[in-house]
Amino acid sequence: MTAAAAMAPGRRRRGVLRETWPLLPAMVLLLLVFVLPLLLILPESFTVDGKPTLAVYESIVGDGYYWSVIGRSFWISILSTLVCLVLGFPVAYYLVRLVAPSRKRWVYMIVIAPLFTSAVIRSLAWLVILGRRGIVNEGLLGLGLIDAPLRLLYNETAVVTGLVYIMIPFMVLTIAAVLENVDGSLEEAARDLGAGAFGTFCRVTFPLTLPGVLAGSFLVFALCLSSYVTPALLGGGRNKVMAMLIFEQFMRVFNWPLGAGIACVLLAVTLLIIWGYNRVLSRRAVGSRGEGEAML
Amino acid sequence: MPQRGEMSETIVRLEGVSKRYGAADAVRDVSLVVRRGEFVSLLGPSGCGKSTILRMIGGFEQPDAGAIEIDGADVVDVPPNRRPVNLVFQSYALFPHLSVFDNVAFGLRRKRLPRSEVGERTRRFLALAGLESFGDRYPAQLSGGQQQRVALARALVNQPKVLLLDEPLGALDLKLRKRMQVELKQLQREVGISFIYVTHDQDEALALSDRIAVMNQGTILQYDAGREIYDRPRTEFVANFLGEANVLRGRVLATGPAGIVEIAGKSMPATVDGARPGDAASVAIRPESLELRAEGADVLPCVVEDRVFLGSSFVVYLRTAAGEPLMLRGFDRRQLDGLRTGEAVGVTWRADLAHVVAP
Repeated sequence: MTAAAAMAPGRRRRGVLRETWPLLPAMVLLLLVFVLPLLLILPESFTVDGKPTLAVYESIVGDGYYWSVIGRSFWISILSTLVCLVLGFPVAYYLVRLVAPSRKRWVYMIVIAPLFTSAVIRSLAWLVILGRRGIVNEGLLGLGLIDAPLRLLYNETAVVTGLVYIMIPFMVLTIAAVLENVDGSLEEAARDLGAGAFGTFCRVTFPLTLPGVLAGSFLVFALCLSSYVTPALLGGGRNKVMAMLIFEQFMRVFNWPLGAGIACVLLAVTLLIIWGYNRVLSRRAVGSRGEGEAML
Repeated sequence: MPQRGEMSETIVRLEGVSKRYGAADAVRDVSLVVRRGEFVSLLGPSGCGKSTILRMIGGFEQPDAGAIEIDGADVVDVPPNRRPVNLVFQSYALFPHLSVFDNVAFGLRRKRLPRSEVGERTRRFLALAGLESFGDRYPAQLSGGQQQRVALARALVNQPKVLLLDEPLGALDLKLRKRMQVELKQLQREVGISFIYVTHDQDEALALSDRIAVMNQGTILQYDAGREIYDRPRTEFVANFLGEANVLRGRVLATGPAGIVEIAGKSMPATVDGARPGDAASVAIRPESLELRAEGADVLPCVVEDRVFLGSSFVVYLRTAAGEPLMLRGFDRRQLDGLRTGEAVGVTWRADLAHVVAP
C-alpha cells in the first residue's frame, strides 16, 4: 500500500507520454493541414488592403444575402439530418436486433458499399434520376401520370435527397455501434415488466441509444453543413450554401478576406454545436455508465 | 383443465412442451406442474433446456408443441408484457439509465397505477430488499449483491403469480451466494409467491427448493423433493448430478426392497425394482453410505488408493477387484487414521441405501 502510494506520482508523470504517444502522428498531421491553415486564414478575414478591419464581418452581418445563405445551409443540414435519423434508425435496429446472424455481414456490406464511390459520382447519379429527361420523369410521363416533365432538380428538395443518400451510412453505422452494446435482455426486461413493443422502444431502446443518435446526428449535420459537391450539383446556382459561397469567394471572385470571414463563421458555428453537444452528452452520461462520453 | 381461481392448487402447468432450434431439440416433450406457493428448481448442466423452459413460461420463446397454462389460463399466444409472471434475468438487466427507484417502479408505472400507490409500493419493496436508502442511485453505482436485490424487488413489486429466476446468483461470489440463498428463501416465504428457479448448482437447488426437476438433454429425468431424489435417484445421470454417487455394474439375483445384486462375484444388498433376476444392472450408492467391514459374504474387497482429509469429513478412494473406482466418505477421524494407502479393505452397505438405476 505505502510502496504503491510512493511510486504513483513518478509513474503518473512519465505516463503522460507513455499513454499519449499513439496520438502524435495524427496530431502532427492535424496541426499541419488543419490548425495551421486555419490560423493563416483567420487574420486574412480581419485584413482588407493590408489594414486591420472588421469590415468583412460587418458586411456579412449587415447583408441579408449572407443571412439567407447561412439560413439555407442550416435548414438543409437540419432537414437532412432528421431524415437520415428517421430512415437510419430502423435500419440500425434491423441490423443489430432482427437480421439473422448469417446475413448480418451482407447487410453491413450493403450499408457501407455506397461509401466506396465518390460523392461526385453519387451526386451525378441523382442528375440522371431526377433530370428533365431522367428516370423519374420518363417513368411518370410513360405512365401518363403527368403531361410535362416535373422540375425535380435545382431545388432544396433535390439537395436534401442527395445529402440524405450520401450521409445515411454514417447515421446507420453510428447508431448500430451503440445499439450493439445495449444488452438485448434490457428490452426483454421491459416487456417482462409490462411495457408493450412501443413503450419498450420509447423507454429503454431509444434512451439507451441516444448517445449514438446524438453522435450520428452531429456527424451527419457537420458533414452536410460543410458539403460542397452535392449542393453544387443538385442545388444549382440559386440555392447556394455556405461551402459554395466560400469556394466562390476564394476561387472565382478572389475576395479572400470575405471567403475567410464566411469560413470562420462556419467554423465558429460548428464549434458552438460541438460544445452544446458535449454538454448534452456529459449530462446524460451520469446515468448511463459514461457510454455517452465514449462516443467522442 | 384445472379450475381457475383459488380452488386450484396448480399455478403453472406444462403439457408435452417441445422446442427446437434448427435441427437441435432444446426441450423435448416436457410436462411439469408447479403448485401455488411452491419453490421449484430446474436443475441441469448448461444446454439442458432449463433456461428455454423458463423463457417459454415468461413468453420470450414460443413452444413448437404443447401447452403452457398459468393459473388455469392458456398463455402460449400471450405476449410477455401481458403474462402474470416476472423474470429475474441472469444479468439482472437493470435499466442503466434509470435510478434504482425508477427501475423498481417501472412495472407499476406501466400498469398506470396512481402516483401515490406507485411510490408507496416501490418504497415498500425497496425496504423489503434492504435498499431503502439506495433509491436515488444508479445501477452502476451498486455492488453485485445490491444489483441482485434491485432485480428481485423490481420483479416482486408487480406481485406476479409466479416469479421466474434464471441463475440469479450465478454472478456472485461463493460467500455472497450462500447468504443470498438464505435471503431468497426467506423472501419467498414472506411473499408466498411460487418461484421457478433455474440453476446448475446442486447445492443451491437442494438448499432452496420444495421440489427439483433434474434435467438433461431437453427432458426432465426426475421431478421430486430434493431428499427423495437424493435418496432414490432413478437414473445414473441423476445420481451423479445431484450429489456424488458410486455406480457399480452387476447382475440382479433377487428383487424387492431387500434385493441382491452380484457385483464382482459378491452378493451385495440393494433395493431392486424395475429389473428381473438375471438382468444386468447398475447400482448407485452414496459415498457416505459405504461402510468398512473386514470380511463376509456381502463384503466387497477393495484396495485403498488414496485418502483425503477435508476438515469435517474425509474421503477414501478405493478400487474394487473388478477395477471399478469407489469413493467412501466418513466422519470418524480414527477410522481415517487406521487406513494405509495400498491396504486391502472390505466395504459393504445397507440394501435401502443402494438403488438399481437406469443407465
